[in-house]
Amino acid sequence: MTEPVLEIRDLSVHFPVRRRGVFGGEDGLVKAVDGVSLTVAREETVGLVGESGCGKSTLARAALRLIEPTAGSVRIDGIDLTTLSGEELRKRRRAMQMIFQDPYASLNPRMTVFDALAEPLLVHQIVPRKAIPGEVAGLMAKVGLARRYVRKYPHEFSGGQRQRIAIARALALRPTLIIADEPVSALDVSVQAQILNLLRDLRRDEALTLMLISHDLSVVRHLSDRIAVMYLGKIVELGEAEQVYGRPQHPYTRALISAVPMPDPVKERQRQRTVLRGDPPSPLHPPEGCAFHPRCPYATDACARIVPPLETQPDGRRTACIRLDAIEAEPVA
Amino acid sequence: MPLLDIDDLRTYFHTRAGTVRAVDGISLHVAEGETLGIVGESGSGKSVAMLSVLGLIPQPPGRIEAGRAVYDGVDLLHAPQSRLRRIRGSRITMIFQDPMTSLNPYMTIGAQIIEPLRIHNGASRADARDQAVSALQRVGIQDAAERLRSFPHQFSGGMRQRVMIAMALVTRPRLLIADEPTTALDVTVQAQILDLIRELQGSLGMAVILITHDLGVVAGNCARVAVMYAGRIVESAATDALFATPRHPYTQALLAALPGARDRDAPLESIPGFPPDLIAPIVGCPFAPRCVHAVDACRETTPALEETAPGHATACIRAQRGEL
Ligand SMILES: Nc1ncnc2c1ncn2[C@@H]1O[C@H](COP(=O)(O)OP(=O)(O)OP(=O)(O)O)[C@@H](O)[C@H]1O
Ligand SMILES: Nc1ncnc2c1ncn2[C@@H]1O[C@H](COP(=O)(O)OP(=O)(O)OP(=O)(O)O)[C@@H](O)[C@H]1O
Ligand SMILES: [Mg+2]
Ligand SMILES: [Mg+2]
Repeated sequence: MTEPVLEIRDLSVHFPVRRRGVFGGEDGLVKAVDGVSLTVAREETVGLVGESGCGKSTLARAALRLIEPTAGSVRIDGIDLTTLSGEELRKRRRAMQMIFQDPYASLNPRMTVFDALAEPLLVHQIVPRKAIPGEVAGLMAKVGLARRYVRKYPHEFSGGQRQRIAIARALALRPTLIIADEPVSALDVSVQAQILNLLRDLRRDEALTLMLISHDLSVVRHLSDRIAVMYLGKIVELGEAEQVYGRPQHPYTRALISAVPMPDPVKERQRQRTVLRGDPPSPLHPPEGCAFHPRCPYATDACARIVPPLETQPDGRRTACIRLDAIEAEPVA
Repeated sequence: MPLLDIDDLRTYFHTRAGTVRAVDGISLHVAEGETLGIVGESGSGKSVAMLSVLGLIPQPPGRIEAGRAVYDGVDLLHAPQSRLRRIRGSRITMIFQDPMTSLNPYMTIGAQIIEPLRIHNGASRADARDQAVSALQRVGIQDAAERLRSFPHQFSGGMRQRVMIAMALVTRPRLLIADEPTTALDVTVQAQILDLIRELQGSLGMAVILITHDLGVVAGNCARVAVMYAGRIVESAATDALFATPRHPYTQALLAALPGARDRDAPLESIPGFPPDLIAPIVGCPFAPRCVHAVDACRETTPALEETAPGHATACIRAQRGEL
């Protein structure tokens, strides 16, 4: 593997939550991210998947220091961002961009597409002033927006069109690292294909490093070299994309993959989904031991006591489950 | 008899640059207990069409130029606002595409779910609260009683989306319009939500119009599908028929663009070019400039949506002639 671009070590982000009423005045803590370590190498794409609310967006924000982590460290190109100041930090920030999950909230309603794309180009002096209209047109073409939209405001666009403006804005700064949080969730599959092809080309031609957060596992599989699976603030499985998608090990990953809807009505009717029993866990009252054990078909008493470490497996992936041998011997589904 | 019958709906936006024909003559219907899927190009008018039916298009610049949308004997497009307000939010509810702009950032989650129950169902405060808690539990939000006091920004993207779903279902509507309801959800929670919707369809006879880009969700949940392109319906068929024998070249191109249809190292199939400018008049078929099968006639005549097989309609003159 080449040199790491993004090194996340033992990162935790805890949110205090005030509880009133029924439970009295005591305060709770949501451990949105709880001791996550993850390294992304240059030109690598790592997919990050997991249950809604498991901490993916929070991890992404903390990685780019858009929020302060509670503990742990993040290095980008070997440099701890907290040690930087002023101009230096500004320069670094430019090279790393986040595409936010909510395209509505991340666009300024009073800026036309042109303004939204020209602003970062101007502020960071990416191209000479004269070249800005051409650069804006180029960015719009890349994300599949026709040029005639250039003077329109966000409210005049459909959901997917807005999502593409947000992507174009992130690309304007020619970043070398992008963390994309659900970048294609509002796009039809043909426009999605165009964006995924664009990200691949950037990786190949401009050495782009990418962390891709998505609930669409076929998208993650298509683009990612490795996949990390999170559950309640922790990584539970991390390996090559084909290992994780093709032969999932962790019981949560197995359930997740089995629930992927297939674009084929006949197969959909025949599909055996591993139905997870119970409800998603409460981040305010996380289960003891392995956080997945109350819903796990393989759990034993030990699982309720031991927090399973993320251990390297014979095939090189890492999985946090103490029952892997038993599962291999007798899979439920 | 359909529960909602939309006929020749046209919604235009009158902007500085010209008239945007966002929805340009669509007809569709959904029966009690049925699920109709709407898929199609980003920007093709799916959301605008449904917002039009509910009287939620900002006017101006928007205007409903033509059409009818008959629900329970009432044409919603021409009903007085007061009547529409009574139907909307109780008998017909909508899950909006953008949870963050449709939730009030300054109101707690609890207040936002309780309000419609008090207004529409006349529930008492305590009763509405209990219903809100169970509505959140049913969409898989833990510690629902405590979470009622949270504000939207304290929820993850998918949790906000589930709040929207809880709000739309809590009044037990007869028709649910769901615009990309599960985009922010992982597939296991998505399956749980879709099961919940199906269960309500069984017990309440609720009809569902499901707008989604997720063709897997369509395959598993919809009886019929309408495919939209440039403000029109270009194909409509039973779900099985649409996936097995898509007839419109746009639908065919869409299905070919799915990741997983090809090997990982090859680029994905996308449709070159852009959808047409909805301001300039469209001569001929709106898809013709991007269509691999287009012939001269396609650029001259506008194809009507006509049956190419029983229950299967296609707006393509070549498909209608049996040439594709
Ligand atoms: N500002 C905040 N205050 C309190 N809790 C928060 C805050 N932001 C996030 N959380 C909590 O942290 C947890 C993780 O949220 P996060 O947005 O990272 O999830 P996610 O994995 O991105 O989910 P999704 O797939 O739904 O987007 C959730 O339980 C959420 O309620
Ligand atoms: N206020 C407005 N003024 C001008 N044009 C508008 C306005 N609102 C929507 N449009 C245009 O109407 C068309 C239809 O938009 P709509 O939101 O219905 O698309 P959609 O099919 O829901 O797309 P998506 O899948 O991306 O959500 C788009 O081309 C959009 O640019
Ligand atoms: Mg998120
Ligand atoms: Mg839409």
